[in-house]
Amino acid sequence: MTGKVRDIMSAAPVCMAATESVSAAAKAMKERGVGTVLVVSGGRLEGMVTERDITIRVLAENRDPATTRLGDIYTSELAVLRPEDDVQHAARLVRDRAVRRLPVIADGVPVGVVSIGDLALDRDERSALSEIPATAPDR
Amino acid sequence: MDAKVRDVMTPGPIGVDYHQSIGTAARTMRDWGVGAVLVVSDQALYGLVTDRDLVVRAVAESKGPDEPVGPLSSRDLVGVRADDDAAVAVALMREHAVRRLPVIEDGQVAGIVSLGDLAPPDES
Repeated sequence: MTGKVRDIMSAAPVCMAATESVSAAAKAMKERGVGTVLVVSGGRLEGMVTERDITIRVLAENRDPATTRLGDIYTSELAVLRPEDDVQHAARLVRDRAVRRLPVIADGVPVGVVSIGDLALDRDERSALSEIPATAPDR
Repeated sequence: MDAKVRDVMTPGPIGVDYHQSIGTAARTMRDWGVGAVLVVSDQALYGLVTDRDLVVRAVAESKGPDEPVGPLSSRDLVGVRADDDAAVAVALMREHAVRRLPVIEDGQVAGIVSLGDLAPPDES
Protein backbone atom coordinates (compact mmCIF):
# COMPACT_ATOMS: atom_id res chain seq x y z
CA MET A 1 0.00 0.00 0.00
CA THR A 2 1.88 3.01 -1.29
CA GLY A 3 0.89 6.51 -2.24
CA LYS A 4 -0.44 9.55 -0.49
CA VAL A 5 -3.82 10.32 0.98
CA ARG A 6 -4.41 12.99 -1.69
CA ASP A 7 -4.27 10.26 -4.36
CA ILE A 8 -7.11 8.19 -2.93
CA MET A 9 -9.32 10.67 -1.08
CA SER A 10 -12.69 11.86 -2.32
CA ALA A 11 -12.12 15.58 -2.87
CA ALA A 12 -14.66 18.39 -2.61
CA PRO A 13 -16.32 17.04 0.56
CA VAL A 14 -19.89 18.01 1.36
CA CYS A 15 -19.69 20.66 4.09
CA MET A 16 -22.64 22.02 6.08
CA ALA A 17 -23.19 24.24 9.11
CA ALA A 18 -24.08 22.77 12.50
CA THR A 19 -27.41 24.58 12.36
CA GLU A 20 -28.54 22.64 9.27
CA SER A 21 -31.10 19.87 9.75
CA VAL A 22 -30.49 16.14 9.53
CA SER A 23 -33.04 16.08 6.70
CA ALA A 24 -30.92 18.51 4.69
CA ALA A 25 -27.82 16.37 5.28
CA ALA A 26 -29.67 13.23 4.16
CA LYS A 27 -30.76 14.97 0.95
CA ALA A 28 -27.17 16.09 0.32
CA MET A 29 -25.89 12.52 0.88
CA LYS A 30 -28.40 11.25 -1.64
CA GLU A 31 -27.80 13.91 -4.28
CA ARG A 32 -24.01 13.88 -4.00
CA GLY A 33 -23.72 10.11 -3.64
CA VAL A 34 -21.73 10.26 -0.41
CA GLY A 35 -22.12 8.90 3.10
CA THR A 36 -20.39 11.69 5.00
CA VAL A 37 -21.13 15.35 5.68
CA LEU A 38 -18.44 17.48 7.28
CA VAL A 39 -19.74 20.02 9.78
CA VAL A 40 -17.89 23.33 9.44
CA SER A 41 -17.88 26.70 11.10
CA GLY A 42 -16.14 29.61 9.40
CA GLY A 43 -14.46 27.15 7.04
CA ARG A 44 -13.01 25.11 9.91
CA LEU A 45 -13.91 21.51 10.66
CA GLU A 46 -16.11 21.08 13.74
CA GLY A 47 -17.24 17.51 13.27
CA MET A 48 -18.61 14.85 10.98
CA VAL A 49 -21.98 13.16 10.41
CA THR A 50 -22.28 9.82 8.60
CA GLU A 51 -25.28 7.87 7.39
CA ARG A 52 -24.68 5.54 10.32
CA ASP A 53 -24.84 8.45 12.78
CA ILE A 54 -28.23 9.42 11.32
CA THR A 55 -29.43 5.84 11.68
CA ILE A 56 -28.28 5.40 15.27
CA ARG A 57 -28.59 8.88 16.75
CA VAL A 58 -31.77 10.03 15.01
CA LEU A 59 -33.90 7.17 13.62
CA ALA A 60 -33.15 4.70 16.42
CA GLU A 61 -33.95 7.39 18.99
CA ASN A 62 -37.20 8.42 17.26
CA ARG A 63 -35.97 11.98 16.79
CA ASP A 64 -37.42 14.09 14.00
CA PRO A 65 -34.86 14.55 11.20
CA ALA A 66 -36.50 17.82 10.16
CA THR A 67 -35.94 19.49 13.53
CA THR A 68 -32.77 17.72 14.71
CA ARG A 69 -29.70 19.77 13.83
CA LEU A 70 -26.33 18.41 12.78
CA GLY A 71 -24.90 20.15 15.84
CA ASP A 72 -27.02 17.83 18.01
CA ILE A 73 -25.55 14.61 16.62
CA TYR A 74 -22.16 15.22 15.06
CA THR A 75 -18.98 13.45 16.11
CA SER A 76 -16.26 15.83 17.23
CA GLU A 77 -12.66 15.23 18.31
CA LEU A 78 -12.06 13.37 15.07
CA ALA A 79 -8.85 11.78 13.97
CA VAL A 80 -7.92 13.62 10.78
CA LEU A 81 -5.52 13.10 7.88
CA ARG A 82 -3.40 15.48 5.82
CA PRO A 83 -3.19 15.17 2.01
CA GLU A 84 0.52 14.40 2.25
CA ASP A 85 0.08 11.54 4.76
CA ASP A 86 0.95 8.05 3.55
CA VAL A 87 -1.97 5.79 2.69
CA GLN A 88 -0.45 3.30 5.11
CA HIS A 89 -0.94 5.82 7.91
CA ALA A 90 -4.58 6.22 6.90
CA ALA A 91 -5.10 2.45 6.98
CA ARG A 92 -3.57 2.27 10.45
CA LEU A 93 -5.83 5.04 11.74
CA VAL A 94 -8.94 3.41 10.26
CA ARG A 95 -8.03 0.16 11.96
CA ASP A 96 -6.89 1.55 15.31
CA ARG A 97 -9.78 3.97 15.72
CA ALA A 98 -12.32 1.50 14.28
CA VAL A 99 -13.77 4.15 11.98
CA ARG A 100 -14.85 3.84 8.37
CA ARG A 101 -14.22 7.42 7.28
CA LEU A 102 -11.67 10.11 8.06
CA PRO A 103 -11.67 13.81 7.08
CA VAL A 104 -8.65 15.22 5.26
CA ILE A 105 -7.50 18.68 6.37
CA ALA A 106 -5.05 21.08 4.67
CA ASP A 107 -4.14 24.32 6.43
CA GLY A 108 -7.11 23.91 8.75
CA VAL A 109 -9.60 23.57 5.90
CA PRO A 110 -11.42 20.32 5.00
CA VAL A 111 -10.38 19.17 1.52
CA GLY A 112 -11.53 15.56 1.37
CA VAL A 113 -12.69 12.33 2.98
CA VAL A 114 -11.01 8.92 2.98
CA SER A 115 -13.29 5.91 3.38
CA ILE A 116 -12.55 2.28 4.10
CA GLY A 117 -13.67 1.59 0.52
CA ASP A 118 -11.00 3.96 -0.85
CA LEU A 119 -8.40 1.99 1.10
CA ALA A 120 -9.69 -1.37 -0.11
CA LEU A 121 -9.52 -0.10 -3.68
CA ASP A 122 -6.01 1.15 -3.22
CA ARG A 123 -4.76 -2.10 -1.73
CA ASP A 124 -4.56 -3.77 -5.09
CA GLU A 125 -5.61 -1.71 -8.03
CA ARG A 126 -5.88 -4.76 -10.21
CA SER A 127 -7.90 -6.81 -7.74
CA ALA A 128 -11.52 -7.63 -8.30
CA LEU A 129 -12.49 -5.27 -5.50
CA SER A 130 -11.12 -2.31 -7.38
CA GLU A 131 -13.79 -2.87 -10.01
CA ILE A 132 -16.59 -2.34 -7.49
CA PRO A 133 -17.55 1.30 -7.87
CA ALA A 134 -16.86 3.25 -4.71
CA THR A 135 -20.22 4.86 -5.26
CA ALA A 136 -22.06 1.54 -5.53
CA PRO A 137 -25.18 1.23 -3.40
CA ASP A 138 -24.09 0.22 0.07
CA ARG A 139 -25.81 -3.14 0.19
CA MET B 1 -7.52 -15.66 -0.39
CA ASP B 2 -8.20 -19.23 0.74
CA ALA B 3 -10.89 -18.50 3.33
CA LYS B 4 -14.44 -19.74 2.93
CA VAL B 5 -17.36 -17.34 3.04
CA ARG B 6 -18.49 -18.81 6.39
CA ASP B 7 -15.13 -17.88 7.92
CA VAL B 8 -15.51 -14.16 7.18
CA MET B 9 -19.27 -13.58 7.19
CA THR B 10 -21.27 -11.97 9.99
CA PRO B 11 -23.37 -14.89 11.15
CA GLY B 12 -26.89 -14.30 12.26
CA PRO B 13 -28.89 -13.70 10.38
CA ILE B 14 -30.35 -10.50 11.72
CA GLY B 15 -33.70 -9.58 10.26
CA VAL B 16 -36.77 -7.43 10.63
CA ASP B 17 -40.31 -7.95 9.39
CA TYR B 18 -41.51 -6.03 6.34
CA HIS B 19 -44.17 -4.30 8.44
CA GLN B 20 -41.89 -3.26 11.28
CA SER B 21 -40.98 0.41 11.47
CA ILE B 22 -37.95 2.22 10.11
CA GLY B 23 -37.13 3.10 13.73
CA THR B 24 -37.17 -0.57 14.69
CA ALA B 25 -34.80 -1.40 11.84
CA ALA B 26 -32.48 1.41 12.99
CA ARG B 27 -32.53 0.11 16.58
CA THR B 28 -31.83 -3.42 15.33
CA MET B 29 -28.76 -2.15 13.43
CA ARG B 30 -27.64 -0.23 16.54
CA ASP B 31 -28.16 -3.06 19.00
CA TRP B 32 -26.41 -5.68 16.84
CA GLY B 33 -23.68 -3.37 15.56
CA VAL B 34 -24.46 -4.04 11.91
CA GLY B 35 -25.04 -1.84 8.86
CA ALA B 36 -27.60 -4.04 7.12
CA VAL B 37 -30.51 -6.26 8.10
CA LEU B 38 -32.55 -8.77 6.12
CA VAL B 39 -36.22 -8.00 5.57
CA VAL B 40 -38.64 -10.91 5.95
CA SER B 41 -42.20 -11.06 4.67
CA ASP B 42 -44.56 -14.02 5.28
CA GLN B 43 -41.61 -15.96 6.70
CA ALA B 44 -39.70 -15.65 3.43
CA LEU B 45 -36.71 -13.47 2.58
CA TYR B 46 -38.03 -10.30 0.95
CA GLY B 47 -34.95 -8.09 0.68
CA LEU B 48 -32.17 -6.31 2.49
CA VAL B 49 -31.97 -2.81 3.92
CA THR B 50 -28.82 -0.88 4.90
CA ASP B 51 -28.21 2.14 7.09
CA ARG B 52 -27.61 4.10 3.88
CA ASP B 53 -31.00 2.98 2.54
CA LEU B 54 -32.66 4.34 5.71
CA VAL B 55 -30.98 7.70 5.10
CA VAL B 56 -31.40 8.17 1.34
CA ARG B 57 -34.74 6.35 0.89
CA ALA B 58 -36.47 7.51 4.09
CA VAL B 59 -34.90 10.58 5.75
CA ALA B 60 -34.05 12.27 2.43
CA GLU B 61 -37.61 11.59 1.23
CA SER B 62 -39.23 12.95 4.41
CA LYS B 63 -40.43 9.51 5.57
CA GLY B 64 -40.61 9.27 9.36
CA PRO B 65 -39.30 6.51 11.67
CA ASP B 66 -42.84 5.15 12.21
CA GLU B 67 -43.33 4.12 8.60
CA PRO B 68 -42.78 0.47 7.55
CA VAL B 69 -39.26 -0.48 6.57
CA GLY B 70 -40.22 -3.03 3.92
CA PRO B 71 -40.65 -0.61 1.00
CA LEU B 72 -37.07 0.65 1.51
CA SER B 73 -35.62 -2.79 0.79
CA SER B 74 -33.34 -3.71 -2.03
CA ARG B 75 -34.74 -6.79 -3.76
CA ASP B 76 -33.40 -9.26 -6.31
CA LEU B 77 -30.63 -10.17 -3.90
CA VAL B 78 -27.55 -12.03 -5.04
CA GLY B 79 -26.58 -14.76 -2.57
CA VAL B 80 -23.44 -16.78 -1.98
CA ARG B 81 -23.01 -20.22 -0.38
CA ALA B 82 -21.35 -20.53 3.01
CA ASP B 83 -18.90 -23.11 1.65
CA ASP B 84 -17.91 -21.02 -1.38
CA ASP B 85 -14.43 -19.53 -1.41
CA ALA B 86 -14.29 -15.92 -0.29
CA ALA B 87 -13.01 -15.14 -3.79
CA VAL B 88 -16.41 -16.19 -5.14
CA ALA B 89 -18.06 -13.54 -2.96
CA VAL B 90 -15.61 -10.95 -4.28
CA ALA B 91 -16.41 -11.91 -7.86
CA LEU B 92 -20.17 -11.70 -7.22
CA MET B 93 -19.82 -8.26 -5.62
CA ARG B 94 -17.83 -7.10 -8.64
CA GLU B 95 -20.23 -8.56 -11.16
CA HIS B 96 -23.33 -7.10 -9.51
CA ALA B 97 -21.78 -3.90 -8.06
CA VAL B 98 -23.01 -4.59 -4.53
CA ARG B 99 -21.22 -4.46 -1.20
CA ARG B 100 -23.17 -7.07 0.76
CA LEU B 101 -24.40 -10.60 0.00
CA PRO B 102 -26.72 -12.88 2.00
CA VAL B 103 -25.00 -16.18 2.78
CA ILE B 104 -27.05 -19.34 2.15
CA GLU B 105 -26.49 -22.68 3.89
CA ASP B 106 -28.88 -25.65 3.75
CA GLY B 107 -31.50 -23.51 2.07
CA GLN B 108 -31.50 -20.99 4.91
CA VAL B 109 -29.90 -17.58 5.26
CA ALA B 110 -26.90 -18.10 7.55
CA GLY B 111 -25.48 -14.58 7.58
CA ILE B 112 -24.28 -11.62 5.55
CA VAL B 113 -20.85 -11.04 4.04
CA SER B 114 -19.77 -7.46 3.33
CA LEU B 115 -17.00 -5.81 1.33
CA GLY B 116 -15.37 -4.83 4.60
CA ASP B 117 -15.28 -8.50 5.70
CA LEU B 118 -13.41 -9.40 2.53
CA ALA B 119 -10.97 -6.50 2.30
CA PRO B 120 -10.03 -5.27 5.76
CA PRO B 121 -7.46 -2.50 5.45
CA ASP B 122 -4.00 -3.65 6.37
CA GLU B 123 -0.48 -2.39 6.08
CA SER B 124 0.65 -4.66 3.27
